Amino acid sequence: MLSNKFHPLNFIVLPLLGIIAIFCATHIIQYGLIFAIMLLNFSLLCKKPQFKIMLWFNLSLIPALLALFISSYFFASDNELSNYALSSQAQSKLWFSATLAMRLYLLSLVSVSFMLHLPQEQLILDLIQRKIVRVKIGYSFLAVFNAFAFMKQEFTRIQIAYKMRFRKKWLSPQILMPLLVAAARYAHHLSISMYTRGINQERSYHQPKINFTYYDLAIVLLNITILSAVIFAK
Amino acid sequence: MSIPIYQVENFGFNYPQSHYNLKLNGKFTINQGECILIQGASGSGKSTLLAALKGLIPHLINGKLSGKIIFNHQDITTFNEKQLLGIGYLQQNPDSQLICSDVYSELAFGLENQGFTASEIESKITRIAQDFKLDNLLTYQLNQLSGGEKQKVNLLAILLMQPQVLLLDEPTAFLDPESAHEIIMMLQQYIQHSTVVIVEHNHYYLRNIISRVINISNDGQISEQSSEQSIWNQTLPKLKSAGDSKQTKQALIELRQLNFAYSNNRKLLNNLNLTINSGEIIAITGKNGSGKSSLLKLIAGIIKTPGQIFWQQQDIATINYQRLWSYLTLLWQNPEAHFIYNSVDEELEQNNKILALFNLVPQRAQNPYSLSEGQKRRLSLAIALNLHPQLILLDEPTFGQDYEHKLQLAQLIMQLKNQGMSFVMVSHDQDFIDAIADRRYHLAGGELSLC
Repeated sequence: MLSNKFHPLNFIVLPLLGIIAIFCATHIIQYGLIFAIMLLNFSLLCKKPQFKIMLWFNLSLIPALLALFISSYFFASDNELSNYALSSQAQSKLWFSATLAMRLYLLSLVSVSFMLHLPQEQLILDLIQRKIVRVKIGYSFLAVFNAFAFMKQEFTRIQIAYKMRFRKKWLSPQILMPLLVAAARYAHHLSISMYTRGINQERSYHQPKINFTYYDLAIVLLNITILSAVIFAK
Repeated sequence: MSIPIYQVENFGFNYPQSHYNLKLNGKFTINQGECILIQGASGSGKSTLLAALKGLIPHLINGKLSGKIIFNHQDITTFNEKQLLGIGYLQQNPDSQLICSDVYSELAFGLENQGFTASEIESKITRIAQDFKLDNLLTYQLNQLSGGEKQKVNLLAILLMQPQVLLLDEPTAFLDPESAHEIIMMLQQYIQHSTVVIVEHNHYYLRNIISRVINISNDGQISEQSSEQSIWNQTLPKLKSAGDSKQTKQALIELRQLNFAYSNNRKLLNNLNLTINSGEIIAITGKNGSGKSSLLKLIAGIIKTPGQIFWQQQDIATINYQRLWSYLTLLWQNPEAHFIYNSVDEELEQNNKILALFNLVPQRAQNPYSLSEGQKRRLSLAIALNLHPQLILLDEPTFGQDYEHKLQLAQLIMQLKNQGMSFVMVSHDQDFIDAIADRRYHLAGGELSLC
């Protein structure tokens, strides 16, 4: 599979290039092209896209995009509209609002879609192996991913205890105290576990290091070239 | 000839910025190849002593250490982190010790820290997993495992490092009896090669493996007991209710053909029928994940199931939550989940009657989190009682409690029962159930059977 040939760091590098391009772009057609390039990148890197979550995310963006479109349509200044030398002011307003909404949409979509599918564990392990991230910090991050399920369970219990005691449906910030205590205990046990198993900087790894390949170089260079062409083309 | 591994004398410890001073008077020796049980009341300092035996004090836990702990003829505080890897240390909560996301990486973690190559790691893991018949777990993600399986992985990860001494801090506390038994079987297999020190309240599992018992009394005196002595027969007395058993009892809760499944999941509860009367104590046992806690949530109206659960003939789904929760309340196994104020007095709204009933008057100004385990459990029950419910649902009420505290709790529950209050408790503690329960049910395969 082609997605296996790319280094997980591409999940950060490629959307970053995309975001820089979005900030540099000014025309709606440029945004359209950047969207197409990012979509291609995404389909190359991602093994199992989470379509359902992406759909919900897109739907949740609609109110914000509509609000931005309407406010920029009605309250755009003449100075802002001067870049759009179209036949009528209404047309200029329309293009200006559509461009702004498209920029917001693309920024959110590119950031969320790549971050959602980021292979966090693989990436952190790689950064540890390359000594970019310290072993203690990297493994603490990995352990935090495991802690989510436990903390969620603990939070539900605390919520229920509070609701039943005060017979209220809403929650008070006071319930953060038992949650903080639970989190502190979890962290303490985890640090003991790491210490007793001898965590240290000079360790070996059972999984092989993921090397950068020509595929990675090719995809990054190709992105830089095409995105530059899209931005600087007249 | 016995070779001493540990020599402990007048151990004491002060946590930084705390008024709590731990002082254990007396001395004891642990010899090579022994399996020692350290026994004592909750809050007597067993876990702190175990942490000191591992050398966590002063390397990881700051504080002032006093007395002497000699490990292999040398003061334990003089060992560095690498030298201390010869002492394995297992904690009670299986979840909070896990670092990686899959079983293989978790087992490899300690070996990687020791610098073994990938092929050495693979051969060591494969061999030990086969020895303990756990090779089927190697490909699993940790979140797919039960609590018992997670604790087995934790134990295996420590055994892989081939420790000279193994220290176990309540290794079966979070487990159902079957999983606890399996962990002890694993230990029994390993024990022939090593020295083991165990702190455990559920010591009836350990009878066959313990060679000596070290007792820590409430006033901090260390004494030795032989494993032949009466501790194995220490069971709670059967408490008798004071009321007339023939007296007509009112049905509070009725489960009528209760069926329940979480979305996209197998059926958790299947056609359950149960009536809970006033002044009754009902116990529910079952393996971890059998649906016991879900059943409590259903009875408490937290999960809605219209037409299947009734409070005094009225469907609880139709009862306003404020009214329903004035009739019944739920207590979690971790009493701290119920604390939100800064003092015991505030938690109980200065109710002197309840403070006196639960023997908490001397602690009234204290922060709830600073109480002993027994006092925390009593306070959480007092908070529930302060709401004047008719039914209290208890989730593992004896978790972390020693014999004395369990007895106090059993007497308190019986006293409340005699005043007409009802209890439904989910518990693994057979001894506690035998002492107070009127009826006992076992939940397995979604079905409830009377034992």
